[in-house]
Parts: sequence; C-alpha cells; structure tokens
Amino acid sequence: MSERIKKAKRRYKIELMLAMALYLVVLAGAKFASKGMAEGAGLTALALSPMLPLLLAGAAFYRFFVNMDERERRVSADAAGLTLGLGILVSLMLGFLSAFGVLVIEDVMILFAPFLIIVWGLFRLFMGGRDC
Amino acid sequence: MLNRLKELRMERNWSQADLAEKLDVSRQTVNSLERGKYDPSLPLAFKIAAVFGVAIENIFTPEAGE
Repeated sequence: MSERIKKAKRRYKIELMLAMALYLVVLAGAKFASKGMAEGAGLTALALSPMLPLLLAGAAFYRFFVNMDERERRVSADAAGLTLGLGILVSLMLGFLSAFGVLVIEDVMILFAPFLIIVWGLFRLFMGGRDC
Repeated sequence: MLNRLKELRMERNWSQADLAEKLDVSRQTVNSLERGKYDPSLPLAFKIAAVFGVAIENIFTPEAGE
C-alpha cells in the first residue's frame, strides 16, 4: 500500500474514533441537559447537537474518500448504491408496517442511519476486501 | 481484460507492495489488478505502462469477446 494511502487510513481511523467519542459525550450531555426542558429553540439546539460530531465524522470520511485509490473509491460508490437500494426497500417496509399500525416508526428512526452505515460497511467489505 | 502485470512485476523482483507504492494505490488494488478482478482506468493504465516502461497494449489485452 502506498505510504500516502496508509497515512490517510491511519488519519481517518483516528479522526473517526475521536468524532464517535465526541458523539457519545455530546449525546449523553444533550440527553442529560434536556431533562425537564420546555420546547423551544434551546431544546431544538440540544436535540440537534449530536449532529455536529457526526458532521465531523462525515468530513473525516470525505478526506479519506478523496485519498483512496480509484478501485477503493469505486467499491465505496458501488456499496453506497447497493445500500441506497436496500435502504429504500427497508424504509418502504417500515412505512407499510407503520401505516398498518404494526410498528411505531419514531422508536426505530434513530437506528436507521446506523443500520445503513453498517450495511454499507458490510457491502464494502464484501466487495472490496478488508482494505477498503 | 487480460494483463501481464504479475509477470512484469516478477521480472523486476518487485513485491505487490513495491508496485503499489510506485502506482500510489493500495496493495489490495495491485492484487485485484493482477487477478483481473479490477480493470484500471485509462490514467492508471498509462501510469502502469510508464512504471514498467512498456506500451499499454503490451500489458493489457482484451479477452475474447470484449
């Protein structure tokens, strides 16, 4: 593996771990601070605050993506396409379950993005090997 | 697409990691190229040709029916 790609992968892992650690801290802090808080701009800001570390994670991935070689980019893009297709099917399935009153969607919406990320990671692993 | 990547690399006693470094790609990508699992873009194919000092058509040949 080229030294440049190695460095980019190392940097991505570190940045991703830091962003995820920050995410857990911000999420726990926002949950704690929001207890008993009335609806309003403050609560909205707290509810959206976990998005900031997630944006940092997204920026870290973007940096990693532009440093990948062309095959790795291709694998990532193909995996994203498959994940999109699966995500559409799962969201339709959840929509039907909700429409028929079988499932309360609010309870599972928070898990949908992690589900997509895990599926995407598995597709990348399956299509490109563990180096992707 | 068939290619002579492995043969050319072996002739020079380069490891896959050596070639990956020269091409600025991952070792896994060199492996995929050698096994014919991945066809390179035109810029990468030219880079491969330049690294080996061989014309592109002497490295890559279309498979029958391509």
